[in-house]
Amino acid sequence: MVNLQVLQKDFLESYKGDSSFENYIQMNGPSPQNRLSIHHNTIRVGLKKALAITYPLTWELIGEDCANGAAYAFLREEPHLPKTGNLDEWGAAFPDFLEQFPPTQSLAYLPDFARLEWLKHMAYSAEDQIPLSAHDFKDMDAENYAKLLLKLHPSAHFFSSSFPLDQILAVVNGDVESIELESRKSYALAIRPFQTVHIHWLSEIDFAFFSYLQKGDSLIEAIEGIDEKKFHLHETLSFSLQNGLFSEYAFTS
Amino acid sequence: MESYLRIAPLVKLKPSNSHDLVGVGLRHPHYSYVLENKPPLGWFEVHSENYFMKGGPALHFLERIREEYPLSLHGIGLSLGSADGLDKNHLRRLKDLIYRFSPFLVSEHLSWSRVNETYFPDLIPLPYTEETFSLLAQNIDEAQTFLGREILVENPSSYLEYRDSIFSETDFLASLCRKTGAKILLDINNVYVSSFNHGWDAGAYIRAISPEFVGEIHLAGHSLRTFEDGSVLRVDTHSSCVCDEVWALYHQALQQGIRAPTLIEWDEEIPDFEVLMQEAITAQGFLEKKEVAYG
Repeated sequence: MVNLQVLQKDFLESYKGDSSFENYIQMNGPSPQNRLSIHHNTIRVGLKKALAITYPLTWELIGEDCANGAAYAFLREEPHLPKTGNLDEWGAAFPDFLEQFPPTQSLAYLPDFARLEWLKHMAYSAEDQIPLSAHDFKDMDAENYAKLLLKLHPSAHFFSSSFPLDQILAVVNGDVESIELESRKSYALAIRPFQTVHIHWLSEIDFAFFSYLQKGDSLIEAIEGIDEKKFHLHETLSFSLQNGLFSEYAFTS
Repeated sequence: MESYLRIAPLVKLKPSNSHDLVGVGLRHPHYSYVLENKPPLGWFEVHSENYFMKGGPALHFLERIREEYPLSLHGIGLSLGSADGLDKNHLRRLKDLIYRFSPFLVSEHLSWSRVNETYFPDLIPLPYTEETFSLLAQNIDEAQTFLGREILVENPSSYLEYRDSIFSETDFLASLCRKTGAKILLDINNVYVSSFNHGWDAGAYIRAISPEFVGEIHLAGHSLRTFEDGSVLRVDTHSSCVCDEVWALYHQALQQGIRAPTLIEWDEEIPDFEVLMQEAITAQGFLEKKEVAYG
């Protein structure tokens, strides 16, 4: 008599190519191999579609055929398969895989582009919180600014790349027809203060400033951590409040 | 299908008897249409896992739609048939979602999807054995106890049967209902698809279902898969209109006294909402015992 635990493990082996699961299947019309292939196909196509939904810009950038090929190759490796039934949280390893996947290896910028897209995906489903506005600070005593701790919005994700991802995104979005890829870094913020995810491109100094805030430093500590000569606090805070970057504030003791 | 559409009028789809409610599976391309047009449907159903996130537009839309309509949560990832047991984190998220949206129905499948911490996005059939029965009864009981409510269990579309099965699917489901207090989500398209794939008598399958156990009915379309050797399987793709044979089985189910909220499902190649609405109107025509033409 069949043991369910063994049968389910054998199905996993069948997904990886072992044919012994076919022995469980009753012979009746279509072959066990064909019957089993419906399940294997449903799994592969379902997971490929889940990746395409998470990484639509990557699909756009390298084309559907290439992206589908990368997805199917990714899905052949067991560690890449989802661990839970919540597919919304699955697929973070795909950008690393693109780095190793021979057909896309020459596109050095592609893994970072996909990593940014993953952060965009994370921002989309992050916890909702109403961001702070300038109005929330209007009655604050100036002497308290030094002690101010600004908590970043739950949807805020920062990313730095050695490649000009802003240029690449402009091409994918159709804002420009073609580019000569510049040799420079880019700094991005993916955030969804309300219902729409936005990508903002930051200066290196603003990126550093926000990194300090993100690790829990106070406003004054963040300012002390960067090169003040290149930093425009008023402009950076205005940008932050206009784009919903802060969700709460507190004071250091 | 035209024959049904001519007969079934544009009626209000909010009858007073909740058993006669007709609903539609809500998918994201239709959020805005539903909110703007408030179609006269009895309810909507969504896949629970599509709303497991912490926040964002999908939850926002669902909250707005829930303000207007009763809602059912239909799970595809709990894997009631896993020998490894239930994923507690998944169950906790489902409970949170139930708390947030107060669904009038919560359902899952007679299948498994997870082994060795690997999840397959598929509803893989189970062998109908004593061991599977004990495991499912235990897992359903655990789910119902944790969620604090009854769940419905859907009969699967299956493409393979196991040599070691000793129970028919209908006997297995009925015994599970008696043992756990769960109800059946009777997917009539699945009955038709599985019957074709295994040579079962679909009419006999419906006759074997006791009306008292049925808590919901699903209707959907499917497609054909022809293999190189010429063999054919029907595949539950939810990518087309309900076929005439499935409407006939639905009619048979109603005639034998099965009355439960009915849902139109469509998940692939999703058409304009009006197409789903026409399917719902056809179902409503059957429920209101209007004359219908077959085939």
